[in-house]
Amino acid sequence: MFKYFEPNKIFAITSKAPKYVLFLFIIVLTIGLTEALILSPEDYKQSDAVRIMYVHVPAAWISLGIFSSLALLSVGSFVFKNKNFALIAKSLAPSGFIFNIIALVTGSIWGKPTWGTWWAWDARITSMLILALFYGMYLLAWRIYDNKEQVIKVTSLIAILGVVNVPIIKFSVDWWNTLHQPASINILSTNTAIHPSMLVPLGIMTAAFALFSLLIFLMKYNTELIKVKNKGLDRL
Amino acid sequence: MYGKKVKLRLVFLALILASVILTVFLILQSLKENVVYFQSPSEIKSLIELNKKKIRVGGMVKEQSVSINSDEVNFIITDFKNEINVVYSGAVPNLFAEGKGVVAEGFLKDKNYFTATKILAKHDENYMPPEVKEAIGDK
Amino acid sequence: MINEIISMNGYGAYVWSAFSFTLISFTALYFVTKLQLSKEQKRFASKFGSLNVEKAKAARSQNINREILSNTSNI
Repeated sequence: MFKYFEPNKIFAITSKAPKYVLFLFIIVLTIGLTEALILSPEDYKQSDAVRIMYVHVPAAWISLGIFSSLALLSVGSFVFKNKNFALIAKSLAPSGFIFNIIALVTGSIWGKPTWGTWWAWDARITSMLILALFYGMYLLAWRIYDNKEQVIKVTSLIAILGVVNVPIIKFSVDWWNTLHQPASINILSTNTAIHPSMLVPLGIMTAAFALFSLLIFLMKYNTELIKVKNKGLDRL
Repeated sequence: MYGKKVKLRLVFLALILASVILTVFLILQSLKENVVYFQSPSEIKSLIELNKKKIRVGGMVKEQSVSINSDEVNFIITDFKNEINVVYSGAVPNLFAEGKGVVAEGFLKDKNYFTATKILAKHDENYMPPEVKEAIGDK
Repeated sequence: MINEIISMNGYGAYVWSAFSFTLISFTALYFVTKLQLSKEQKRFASKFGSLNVEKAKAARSQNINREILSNTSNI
C-alpha cells in the first residue's frame, strides 16, 4: 500500500506544488486578515482584544495537530521500518514548532489586556510550554545524530513520548482550575460558544495557517529528498 | 500478514506508551495541589489550618459586592456555595466586573478575609458582538 | 475609520503586535526553508556536473533526478 507514496513517484508533484500553494496561501491569508482585523465585530466583553484569537487559536490547533501527526508517523516509521514516514515527520516539524511559539507569544500578548498578566503558570500554558520543549528536542535530535538508524529511533521516541502531553493540553482546562478559559468549540457538538460572525475569520485564518504548514512541509520535504538523491549519486 | 518483528515492535511501543501514560497520570495525581492554578472559596473553607504562604482564590465576583473607595477595592468572590471577602489596593484589569470570573493572588487573613496583592480577570469561552449580547439579554 | 482600525479601542498595541509577530515568523521560516532548499539544489546540480558521461547518463535515467535538475532555481 505504501508503495504509491514512494518519493520517486510523488516528487514530480511535490516539486511543483509549492508555488501554487504559496499563491493560494497569500490569497486566503489576505481574506483572513481583512476579516479578522476589519470586517469582524468586536467582542461584547473584550472589545477589539478578541481579534488576537484569530491568530492564537489556529496556531495552537495546528501545532497540536502536527505534533500528533509526528507521533503517528513515528509509530509507522518505527513499526514498519519505513524511512519515508520519518522524512515526512521531519519535514512537518518546523512549521509545527513555529505555530507553537506563535501560540505562546500571542497568548501572552492577549493575556496582558484581558487577564491582567503576561504569563501564568496554569496547567494549559505550562503544558503548551512543555510541548514547545518537545518540539525543540525533536528538531535538535535530527541535527545531533548522524547515524540514520539511530536518528530515526531517537526522534520517534521523542515524538511518541511527547504525544502523551497532547491530551493533557486539550483537557487541562476541564480537569483543573486554570486561568485559561475552557474550549469554545467542540468537534462532537454543533453548538459553539463563538458567534458565527467571529467563526468566519477563525475558519479562514485556520485554513491560511494550514496552507502555510503545507507550503513549508513541501519545501522541506523536497530538500530532504534532494539530500537523499545527492547521496544516491555517489553510489552510481 | 506482517512479519513477526513488526508485531513485536508494535507491542514494544504500546508498552512504552502505556507505562509513560500511567507514570504521568500518577505524577499529576500526586501533584494535584500544584497543578491547580487557584482554589475556590469552598476549598478555602475546608482548609484545616491557615497557610501563611501566598495562594490564589478564584470564582465569580458577587453581584453588587464591589465597592471602590480611594485606591482600595473591596469585593466578594463566590462559588455560589461559599464566599470570601477580598480587599485589594491597586488597579484592576479591564475585564474585572461583577458577575465575571476572577482570580485573586495574595494572603488569607482568616477563612473569610483575603488580602490580594494581584487581581487577574478570568474570562469565559463565550465570544459575541455587543449587539448580540444585548439581544439575548443579560443572562 | 483608519484611526479606529489602528487604535482598536485602545487595544491596538496588543492586536497589532500579535499579528506582526505571526507574520514576521511566517516570513522568516519561509525564507530560511527556501534558502535550505536552493542550497541543496545547487549542491545536487554541481555534483551532477562533476559526474563523468557514463554516470551522468545512468543518473539521468531516473525520473526524479531529471525533475530535481529541471526545478533548480524554481521557488
